[in-house]
Amino acid sequence: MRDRSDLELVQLFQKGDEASFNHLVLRYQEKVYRVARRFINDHDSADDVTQEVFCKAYESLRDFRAESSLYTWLYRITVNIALNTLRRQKVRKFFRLDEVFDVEDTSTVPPDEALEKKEEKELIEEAIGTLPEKQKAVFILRYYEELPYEEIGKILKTSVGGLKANYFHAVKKIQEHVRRAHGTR
Amino acid sequence: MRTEHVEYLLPDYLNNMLEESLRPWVEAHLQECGACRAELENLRAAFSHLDAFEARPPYDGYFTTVLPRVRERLQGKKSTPFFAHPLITRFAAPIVVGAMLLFILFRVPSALRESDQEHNPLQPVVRGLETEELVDVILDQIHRETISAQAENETSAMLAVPFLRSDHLLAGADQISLSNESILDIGQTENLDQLSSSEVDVLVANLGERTIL
Repeated sequence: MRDRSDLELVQLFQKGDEASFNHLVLRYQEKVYRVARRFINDHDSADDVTQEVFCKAYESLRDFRAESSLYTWLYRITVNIALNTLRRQKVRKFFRLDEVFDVEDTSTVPPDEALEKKEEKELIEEAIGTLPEKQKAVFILRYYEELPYEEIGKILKTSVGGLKANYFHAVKKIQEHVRRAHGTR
Repeated sequence: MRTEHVEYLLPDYLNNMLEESLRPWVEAHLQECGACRAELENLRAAFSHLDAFEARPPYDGYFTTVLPRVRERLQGKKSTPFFAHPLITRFAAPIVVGAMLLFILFRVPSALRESDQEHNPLQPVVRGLETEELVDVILDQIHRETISAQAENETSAMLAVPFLRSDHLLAGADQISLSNESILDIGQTENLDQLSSSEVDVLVANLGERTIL
């Protein structure tokens, strides 16, 4: 079963073979989790997204017509669910005013100390978190997943034309964010 | 090639992801364009930071837990009762809740009003009256209450008259066999019939003092 292609597993599943779905989950769970984790910087939410992606895939797989590759299709589901999760988190964060007031006022902390507190990884995570949705998706899929622009276009259901510009501006914004943080030293 | 077109290719150029056909073109442009060379260096610095960022791996054994939990979640969705179906929860449930709220908002106050009417004896009288008739009813009611209060006072006064007489007081006191020594310190007798008139006077005086106190 492990040697079968994605399409063969899908066809088996469509004929009622439940075990083939298990193989698809095992085959793609790491990729799905990794992408989800790039979007959302906490394990629990990324884990929830991962499970939801496969549940959604299970429900929709019977209608899968192989117009795109399975991994493109799974990436699309992952990006959509991850972005929805991010939106919900933003709304929750917006209404959680107590946490806003609990945020440490770093303006009173010496710049050197403040930057020391913030590790480089956190800085990058923070920078990616500030990107607009589309730029974030393009950046993650291109830089971390190394997908071709054509695939990214299919995943995001957008033309390839603007993707390079999106990618460029995403990198520039991350760079700017990091530069500003280092500038406070 | 214009600068802005080349700069969009620079991220892929730096990461060796640029199409081979474009690579010589970009390199030739970089030799001529100082702005793009500066941009390239900026991007190189940015990617050096990015390369340091690795997504935090999940705990050991995490990927052995995904499939069982996906299956469990799917089973939960399958066994979800019909009233938890997304169509129900998304559309039907809000409609039912809305209808209940409307019922509570409009029906319950109305029921309370009806309940008030049942308990208020004036409601059936007042209902349907013109304003002038209503004024008459209210004035009549006030008049009746005034008469009733006066009659009560008069009755109380009439009933009180016999008790104002001292012999009635003494007779009543005899019947309840007063034993308060502070009052009966004129003698140890408890039978008021046996008291002399002077003793009765003393007793009345004592009772008067006690009443004042």
